[in-house]
Amino acid sequence: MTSSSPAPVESSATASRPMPAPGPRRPAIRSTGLTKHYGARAAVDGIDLEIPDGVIAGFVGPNGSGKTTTIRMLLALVSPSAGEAEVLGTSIRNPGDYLPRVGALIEGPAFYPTLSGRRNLEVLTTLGGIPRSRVEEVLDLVELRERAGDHVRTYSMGMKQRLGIAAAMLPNPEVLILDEPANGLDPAGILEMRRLLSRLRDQGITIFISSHLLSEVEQVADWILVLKDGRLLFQGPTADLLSRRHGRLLVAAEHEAGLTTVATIAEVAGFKVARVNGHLEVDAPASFAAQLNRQAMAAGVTLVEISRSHASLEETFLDLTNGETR
Amino acid sequence: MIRSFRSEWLKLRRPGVLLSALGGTVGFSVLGIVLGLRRIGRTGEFTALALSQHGGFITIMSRGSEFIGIVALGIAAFAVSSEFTHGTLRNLLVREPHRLRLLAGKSLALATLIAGTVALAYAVAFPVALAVAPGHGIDTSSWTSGAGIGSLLSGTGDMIITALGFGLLGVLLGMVFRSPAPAIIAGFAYTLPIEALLVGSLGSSRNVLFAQQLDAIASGGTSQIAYGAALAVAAAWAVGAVIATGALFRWRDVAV
Repeated sequence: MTSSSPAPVESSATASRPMPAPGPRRPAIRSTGLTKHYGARAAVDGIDLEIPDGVIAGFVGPNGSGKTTTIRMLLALVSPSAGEAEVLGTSIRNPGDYLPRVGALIEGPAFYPTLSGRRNLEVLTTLGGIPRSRVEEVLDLVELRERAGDHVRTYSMGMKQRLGIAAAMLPNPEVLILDEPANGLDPAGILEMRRLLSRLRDQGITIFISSHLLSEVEQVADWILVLKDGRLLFQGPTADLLSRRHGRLLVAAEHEAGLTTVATIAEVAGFKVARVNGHLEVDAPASFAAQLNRQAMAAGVTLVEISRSHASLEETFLDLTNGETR
Repeated sequence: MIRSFRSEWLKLRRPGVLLSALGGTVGFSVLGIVLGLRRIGRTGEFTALALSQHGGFITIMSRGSEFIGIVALGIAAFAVSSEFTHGTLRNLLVREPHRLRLLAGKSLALATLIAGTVALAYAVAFPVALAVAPGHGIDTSSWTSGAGIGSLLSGTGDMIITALGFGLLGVLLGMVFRSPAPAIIAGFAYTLPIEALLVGSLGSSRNVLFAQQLDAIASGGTSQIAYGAALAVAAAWAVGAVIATGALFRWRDVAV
């Protein structure tokens, strides 16, 4: 398992976002050896989480990797087989002490279909001892007030998702745990969700998002955790993960026939090469570009373009989880 | 627990739930009267003469106790198990992590709904019976006497106890099966054919089976099961059901 210090790291991916102030901070979520067995199978296998306060932490992993089980343990819905975890400095064995400060959307929005959106939220405010006035505030937050009087069964998936986020926001949480929050949202909804998460993070809320939309996670998450087969493969700043994989060089030659020569040069140097739409994609660091250019010129090939493509989270994720990038 | 109770009532106030509960209970009660009066015999305790006594109305109503019980069982089983199938239980547990408090409040709300619907059913059924019974040769004048009203109140209380017993069984089955259809089917199967088969094959089992005790309570005791004995055995069953339900809810993972 690879882990990094929870200290914030400025990166190209996160440069425009305010990071938590430097200095020792209490992790919002921490676990030690957290394990969940179902029979002989370990759904979660001794993970040591540490999520700093005030970040958006993306939680990614293949289906069945244990993300939802981990989230359920953090929310005291499932009891661990071994290990310990803390949320906001409180053991998950005392959920009454921290859950009032936590909002959650777990495995999609779940509501009473024959109650209105507003009444569904009132069920939760009444149960949680939350002021009823919060209902209208969170309905405004997710822009659902106009339809709040309608039965939830008449809502689109996107509206239910927004209502789920409204429900999670009811307690004015310090930690927000969202399982696949972008599911069912249209592009405009996803954009709005991204803005909302950034606003909430800027207000100091720690956000823990599980998502299979890696491009979304890459755009919003300051911190990332990669889980596979119940084990944590990486946790740390998103930029650190992305920097583990060098990008690609995109190469175009004056004459397409010259690309064969260029491909040979790159392969001899030990890099993988793919031919895509009249270009070469060379899995090589930027530092190889000058050498490639020189050798191509020496071989009589004129390159008209050498550009660098950054590694995406998807590529890095697939590398990390032993998948194929192409 | 009070928050859980109030929160549950926000759901129970749904027209669909209220209409189902009231319609089922009132409907079965009125149907029980109409069908019961068609089966008046010439001998035994179900004759026009016997039903003209001050407890005649309760005698008629107690014949339909299983049906009212089944409505109560269905309401409770649905209310509990649908929280699992809708996935709403996880939302509730995040807002109220003390599971036993959540369960206690929810159960109390269901109990008040069941008790209220039974009381309303009797309030509707009584005037219906007063109107219909004379047509079957029953003199209802003693039903409205002081003793008759006392009998009506105690009989209503007994039926409420019976319905609450069935409701408790519904809560347990809802917790076990975590899905409305199997929970309700299992409840119906147990209270109707299974207990009947057990009593048919082993008569003494009548004295220990839960639904038999509840039926006896609704009738204010029978010739085979004394009222006090029925209350005691039913109470023992109820304690066991409460412990089993609480343990299941407290310790079982919520993985839906």
